[in-house]
Amino acid sequence: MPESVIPLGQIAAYIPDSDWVLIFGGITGQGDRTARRAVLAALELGLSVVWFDGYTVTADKNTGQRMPLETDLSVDPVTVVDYSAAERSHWLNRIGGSTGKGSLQSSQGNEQPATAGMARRGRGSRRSLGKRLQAMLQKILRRISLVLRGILGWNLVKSEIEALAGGATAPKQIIYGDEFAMTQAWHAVRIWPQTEAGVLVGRR
Amino acid sequence: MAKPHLLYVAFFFPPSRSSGVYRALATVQAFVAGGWDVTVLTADERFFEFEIGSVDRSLLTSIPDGVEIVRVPFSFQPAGSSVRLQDMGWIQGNLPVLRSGIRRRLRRAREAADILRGRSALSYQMDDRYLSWIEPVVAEAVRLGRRRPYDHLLATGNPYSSFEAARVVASLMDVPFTIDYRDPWAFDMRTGSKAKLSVPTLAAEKRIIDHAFACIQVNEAIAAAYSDLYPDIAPKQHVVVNGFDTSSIPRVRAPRDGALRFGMLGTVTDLWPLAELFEAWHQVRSVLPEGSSLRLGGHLGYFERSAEQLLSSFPNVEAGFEYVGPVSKGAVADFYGDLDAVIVALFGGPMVTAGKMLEVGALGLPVVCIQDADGGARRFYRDHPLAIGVDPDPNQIADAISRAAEMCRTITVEERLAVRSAMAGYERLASMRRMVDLVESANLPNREVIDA
Repeated sequence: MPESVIPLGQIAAYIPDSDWVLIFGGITGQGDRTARRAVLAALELGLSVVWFDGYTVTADKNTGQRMPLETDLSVDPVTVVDYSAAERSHWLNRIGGSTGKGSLQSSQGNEQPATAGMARRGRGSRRSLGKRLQAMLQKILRRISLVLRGILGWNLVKSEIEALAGGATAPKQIIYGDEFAMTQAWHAVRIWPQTEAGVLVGRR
Repeated sequence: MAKPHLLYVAFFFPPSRSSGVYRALATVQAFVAGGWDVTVLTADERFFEFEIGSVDRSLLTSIPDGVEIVRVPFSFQPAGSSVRLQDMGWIQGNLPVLRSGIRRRLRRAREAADILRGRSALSYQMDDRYLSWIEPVVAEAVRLGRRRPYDHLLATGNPYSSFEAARVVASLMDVPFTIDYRDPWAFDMRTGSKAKLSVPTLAAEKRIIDHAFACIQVNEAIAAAYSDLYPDIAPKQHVVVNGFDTSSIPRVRAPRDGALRFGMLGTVTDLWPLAELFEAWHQVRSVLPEGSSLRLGGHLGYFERSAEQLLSSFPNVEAGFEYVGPVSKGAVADFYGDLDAVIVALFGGPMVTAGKMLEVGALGLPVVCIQDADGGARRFYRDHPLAIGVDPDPNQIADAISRAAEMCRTITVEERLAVRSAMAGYERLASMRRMVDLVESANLPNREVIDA
């Protein structure tokens, strides 16, 4: 199986043909770190990996080149499905102003929510009623967006998982990195109920 | 006439196989033998088995008939955190952020309400990882006590939350209580210096001791240290040593020729001076009779996770080393019966003794005790005619093993029987009987304290 970083919609060409592990990294830095550890652990065990990555860390801001794993992706059987762009550009996140790394991992992200400056300015003593209402609405929408983020993530990867379910054997493990990825893992275990699932299964 | 009723608060109790379980078990046996009805409040089996993975189900058979065991659940994990994905409902699976947010707010509200009612972990100003066990234990103890009143409360620690629970219950039900320290709370057992405890924790211990009828320690060094720390309540300090089980002592056999078998038994921890012992064993093998071996029996650590690291440090079979795994209580006598000499490897200073120390001393076999010169076990063995005490130094240990091997050839059956006879006073039930006497003295009309 070749190494690949693929966008959504192409998984059918990369169905694993040997024992494999399904990893949902989620959309936070913590989830990404967990996913990277899980990928290395799976490779040590000689398993193929399909990793759904909603938090792409770019090593080079200019070229957008991905932060490499501490392994040779040209040799190791890892397929990374990068859905971070689709996640960030979803209408729910745009309305909520919580565009991926911008709101959840602002210290690491390259982007700031478009409305963040507006909210700050709105706190001033001279702010108008309209701006205060706008900030309040923004806050409510951001919370709604946060709550629905897991379901949104699942909807984005659902068709890919269904393609995997149709073409591959059940994964050996399902691993998730954060609370948002847990929703994807929760749906995945409904498809493969016998598969062991957890944050880092088999590791203490 | 109705039997007196003891409430015994012991967090670690069978099927747990923690170090303190044997003393807890012996305590219950002694009280039952002394004519008491005993109710034990302990933690739940799920915690022992699945959370810390430290269980020996064979210990359950040692609980005397008629003892009531009441298990009060405890967990280090927040409620609901260990649910499998397969078992999660739709809301938890799809709206985890919403669910955890609601739960967090509810928990805060509940904690605030508890504080207002004076019922919260925050009400107990002391550092202990088991604080959340106090409140349910107090509630359960009060419920059971209303059904049948207690004559005395006895709590064993650690965890020291058991002491605080006993203090609260005793105060609510107006019953005397005694605390049995398996380890010192205010001192670092290894160094003998004062432990780094917070001021509220030290105050909590002082408050507990002030209210307690008596404090029981496992050796004189700890009792003396507490008497120095709290001189005004020094008379409350008593010593009840762990003692040994006669069922663990095999029949005396004549010395044998040829290969010798040295052995160690106990829950092995990385605190034991194992590296020094193994180095000494490699050194001394050449002077021992051919085929001599070193046999180790026992659990590896108190928790599941400890085993792998310890196993990797053991010598291989070619080096005359054999690890036989855990030895059940019923097989201890057979284990010792196959040995020619025993090694006791301990760490720390005067406060560190071990239950195994007495058991090994009663075998009537040569003993090599490895511990610093001021160690509690070294001091105990000072007058033992068959014991050789050495520092944890490979050269000294090798020399001691060599001397013990010589002793194996010359020791007579009469000498071994004489040692056994001298150790009879440390038999476990006889030893624990002192605890029963002490507790019974609390209920005498003039509250005369029997000096244990």
